[in-house]
Amino acid sequence: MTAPLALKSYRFRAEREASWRELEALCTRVEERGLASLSEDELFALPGLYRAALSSLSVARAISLDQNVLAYLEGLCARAYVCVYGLRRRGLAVLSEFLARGLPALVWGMRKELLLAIALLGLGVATGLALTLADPERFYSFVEPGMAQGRGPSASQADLARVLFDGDDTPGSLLTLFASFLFTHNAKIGIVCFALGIVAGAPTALLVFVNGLTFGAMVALHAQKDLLVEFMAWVLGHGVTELLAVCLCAAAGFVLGGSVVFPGRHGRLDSLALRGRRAGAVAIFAVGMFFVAALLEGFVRQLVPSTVVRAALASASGLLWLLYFWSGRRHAPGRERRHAPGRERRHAARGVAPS
Amino acid sequence: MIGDELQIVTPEQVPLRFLLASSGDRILALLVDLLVLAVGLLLLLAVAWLAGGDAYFHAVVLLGVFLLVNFYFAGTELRWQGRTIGKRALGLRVVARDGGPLTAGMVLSRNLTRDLELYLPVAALVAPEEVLQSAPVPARWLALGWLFVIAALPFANRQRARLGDLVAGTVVVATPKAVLLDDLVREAPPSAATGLSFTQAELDIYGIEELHVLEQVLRSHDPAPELLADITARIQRKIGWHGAGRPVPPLFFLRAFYAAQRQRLEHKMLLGRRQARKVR
Repeated sequence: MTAPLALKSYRFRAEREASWRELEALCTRVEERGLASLSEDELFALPGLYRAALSSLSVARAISLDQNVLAYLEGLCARAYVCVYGLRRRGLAVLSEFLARGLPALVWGMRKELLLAIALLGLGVATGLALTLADPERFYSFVEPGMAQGRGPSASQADLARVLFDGDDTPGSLLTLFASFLFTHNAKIGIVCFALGIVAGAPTALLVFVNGLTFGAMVALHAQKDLLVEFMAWVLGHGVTELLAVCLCAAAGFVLGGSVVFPGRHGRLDSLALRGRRAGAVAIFAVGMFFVAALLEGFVRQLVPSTVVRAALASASGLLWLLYFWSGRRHAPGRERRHAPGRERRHAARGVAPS
Repeated sequence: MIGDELQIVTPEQVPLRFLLASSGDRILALLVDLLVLAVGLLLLLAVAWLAGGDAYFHAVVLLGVFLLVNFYFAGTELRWQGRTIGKRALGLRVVARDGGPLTAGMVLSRNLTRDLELYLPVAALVAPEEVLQSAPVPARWLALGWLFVIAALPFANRQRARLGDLVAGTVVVATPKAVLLDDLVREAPPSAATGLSFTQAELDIYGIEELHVLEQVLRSHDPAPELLADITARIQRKIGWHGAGRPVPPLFFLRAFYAAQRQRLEHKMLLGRRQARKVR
């Protein structure tokens, strides 16, 4: 009666053990050396072996009382699951696909948040402008001394003009240093702007508004000294890109905040997870924009003293970004967001129709 | 989800149980990562120092420091399928909470909040003046408390998720390690050779829980002979074994009984009667 072959669970194990061992060996190699270490044949075999192990697990749960087999299969399936469904996407193809379609679509999907961020920035600029025009001394409360670099209501028009047009006597190597400093500083602010969005977006809004105040105060300062056009061309050559990046980070932050406050038809956590991924990708792109802006600021602006060229640069960059984000309209995920995308995505991954 | 386990439904609709990474392991992994990060930063600074006054070099180093501090975690998690160097060392990894594949977007999102969760609270503790600057006193306490709450978030929820995990919908789990041992039934002596047999009534006493305890005893490394003899005596008494008078080596008996009992219980389970524990 106790002959081993009479036990169904024993026969079941004997029949399948070889394929489990094979899968285990593949998993161990993937964990240690990555998917690239598998040969083409092994790569083809992996999903099949994984599904076979999953089916073994389901059967074992129903027929076997051998704890060791169950624990082993649970562990093996979990490891294989990570190998099969773990992160595989990489390479330039994925990146270019993301830049060409994914990102504009994401930005288009959060256009309301982006407009809100731009409006807040505009409000900040207007407030800073109006307050500083009314009383020039307020400049000091809006602009930190480090950023003002000696500019202020007491500086003469000639002093201000020198800052705007005398960038070209700096050696090239110092420009590089300056550019990378600007980039790291701005990108840091952008990342914090995004992360702070989690608290219902309030700190993000404040940060954007304060940035607007500073900018408005600077505009007012130059307007009072009849340097408005020159200043705007000087700052917007890179500023369009930089301010847009700030607004994108803030918009991504608002998406986070919004998903917590208005989770929609999902639970708060699911809603946050769903939108957080997209917002994170946008914030990363904004960091890239800060890099572009720093290059523009560090090199082009300092080397091109002409107001006309600077103004052209500002308009061109603004137009390019606008067209780029506008192109996302075609592949917009906006509708999907309202239709339980989590479920759709899972069904798509499984390759069956939702039932 | 039960206790420290997390159930994830794979795209094939099979529920898999993962063990959540313990707080201690995660802190240790973080420390390892910070150590690696510190070594990297020191190397960069050494390069900058050797370069002397060359500003080009300094610019590159500045960029390098920024990239290292902000993208070390995301970069390593992208490179090694959800594992930083510290996580690799401690056998942890990041998986998607909804059971789908881990995407680059998740990895980036979960690491973008690190500034807020890690660097800012630490900076606020070490140099409060730098972080809070000229804020009024009540606002300072508010900000400090808030930073603390965010940093303590992983200790306050069942999934041990930090803010970044919540934002990205990810969970950190322990990489499972189970070894497939030999089937105990295989080593059981065939009944015909030993004459050890059990009637159906004798096998209807114990349930699955007792079977699993017996399995643990038999699988344990070098069990004490007294313990085996004691268990043998108890089982024989409990089930009223018909061959009780005969002297049988305990290990011999227990293996035969395990095989017979498992066969009986598995048979009943197949017929839809899952007997969880002993009857009386």
